[in-house]
Amino acid sequence: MRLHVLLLLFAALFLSRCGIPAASPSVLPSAAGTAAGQSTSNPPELSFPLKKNSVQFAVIGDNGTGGTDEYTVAREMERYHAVFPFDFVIMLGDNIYGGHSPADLERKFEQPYKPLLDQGVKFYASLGNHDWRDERLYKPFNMDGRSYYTFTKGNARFFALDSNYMNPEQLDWLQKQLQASSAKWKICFFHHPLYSDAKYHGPDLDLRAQLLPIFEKYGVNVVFSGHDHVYERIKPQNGIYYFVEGSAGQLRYHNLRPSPETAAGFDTDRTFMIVEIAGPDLYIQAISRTGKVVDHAMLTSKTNISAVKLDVSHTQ
Amino acid sequence: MPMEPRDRVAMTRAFILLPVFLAVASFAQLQHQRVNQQSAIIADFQKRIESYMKVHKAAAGQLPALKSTASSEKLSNYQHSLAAKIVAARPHATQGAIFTPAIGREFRRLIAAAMHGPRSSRIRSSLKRGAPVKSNVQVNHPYPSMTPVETTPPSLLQTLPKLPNELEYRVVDHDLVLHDVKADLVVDFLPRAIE
Repeated sequence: MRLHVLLLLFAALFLSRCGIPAASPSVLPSAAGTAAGQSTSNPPELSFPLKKNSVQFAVIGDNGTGGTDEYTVAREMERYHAVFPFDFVIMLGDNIYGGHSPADLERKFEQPYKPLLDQGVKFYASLGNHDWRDERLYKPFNMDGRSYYTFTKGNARFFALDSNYMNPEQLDWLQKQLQASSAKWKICFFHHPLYSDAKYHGPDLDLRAQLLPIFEKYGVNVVFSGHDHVYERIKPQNGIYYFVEGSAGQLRYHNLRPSPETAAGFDTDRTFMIVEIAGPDLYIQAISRTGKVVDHAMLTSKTNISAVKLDVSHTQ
Repeated sequence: MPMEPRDRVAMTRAFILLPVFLAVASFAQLQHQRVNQQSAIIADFQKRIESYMKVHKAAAGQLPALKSTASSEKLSNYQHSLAAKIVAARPHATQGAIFTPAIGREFRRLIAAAMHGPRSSRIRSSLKRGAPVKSNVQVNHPYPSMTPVETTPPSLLQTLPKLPNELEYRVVDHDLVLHDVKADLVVDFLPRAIE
């Protein structure tokens, strides 16, 4: 009996030294041991290369509640910003829930993200179903009066889309913009997910039928969406990687129903994402409200003549 | 002079084919008329939209141009002023001013064709998953405050006539709403457009 215990201990020690990871469930458990609303006092965990001239940004979706949880996530973003000084944040819609008075905008956006805004971090918004259409003209959202627009950062081109109203004009604009872009990384972000294993909403199939052929034809690499109040990383679909990040303020507890398409997910606390694009590699981390890294991965773009394909090495 | 058997066969064929030809010709003519009627209805819709846009542009012309601003108060004030001027210019606008009975019928036909065509299941799923909303809309009133917008399925937008940038089609419950986005105003709505 004593020999068995010794053997087990020896095996455990051997495995941990070899760095063999424990099997990770597709839906990760919540970060235990921290009280609600509190951040961990541990230093932020970062597994990024932090390369010179890399593109560094954060991702939030469904954040604009003005509630305690939005503020806690924002504080955690600020903590991570200290070690990973991202230049900008992309917003996946539902930026401001409910009213849109000056007091609302202050409580639901300007106050929680004030430390980041004060440090010059720019926010680029897309519109969700709860958003006021005139957010397009709200200067801190950098939409410049448009509900769909594009901008470049380093070797990446970003395309903010309006998934509430995907009319033929927008589809035509997107095709032309993607075709004209020679960026190594083409990243689209919008509110309604094309893939999602959350039970409450799930994927928008009509939107998927319209956008997928365009994304595939013109070499989109990564797509970020919100709407479902969970975090989910989908396995690459025809070379394109999809993320659902809709829990930076809202949360639908235990709403994920993992499918064979799920690469990783988290639905027991709020989250945000940080991303570094260093040349052909893109690193992601999903971080919970309590500061725990709940997912991380490295994606590599391989450009060929017809399209950009994506390899994924799971570092989970 | 008795008819040759070959001529008799030809005559019989002609008698049989003539009604078929006439039926095909009259069906084609009916189809042509229907297409013409549908085109005329859509042209009428576009004309009504154009005349609404004249009102919108005249109202907007009386206000200083709106640029991006950090003040949501300025955005709200502009929107309210624009809406007030448009309402003042069409104070008696009611449901049906743009969606006349004929236009309404044509829109219902277009929507029904999309909802029962090969894309029907994904249109319905898009409507269901976009967060359906239930609310009462009124012409010359803002889109109901605090009410989220429901996704207008892209396949549906492909079947409906094109609108200027200032206007959007919105689905509220089963109604199709014509929404002036810049003024946040319900221009008109078509009840029970989506079954």
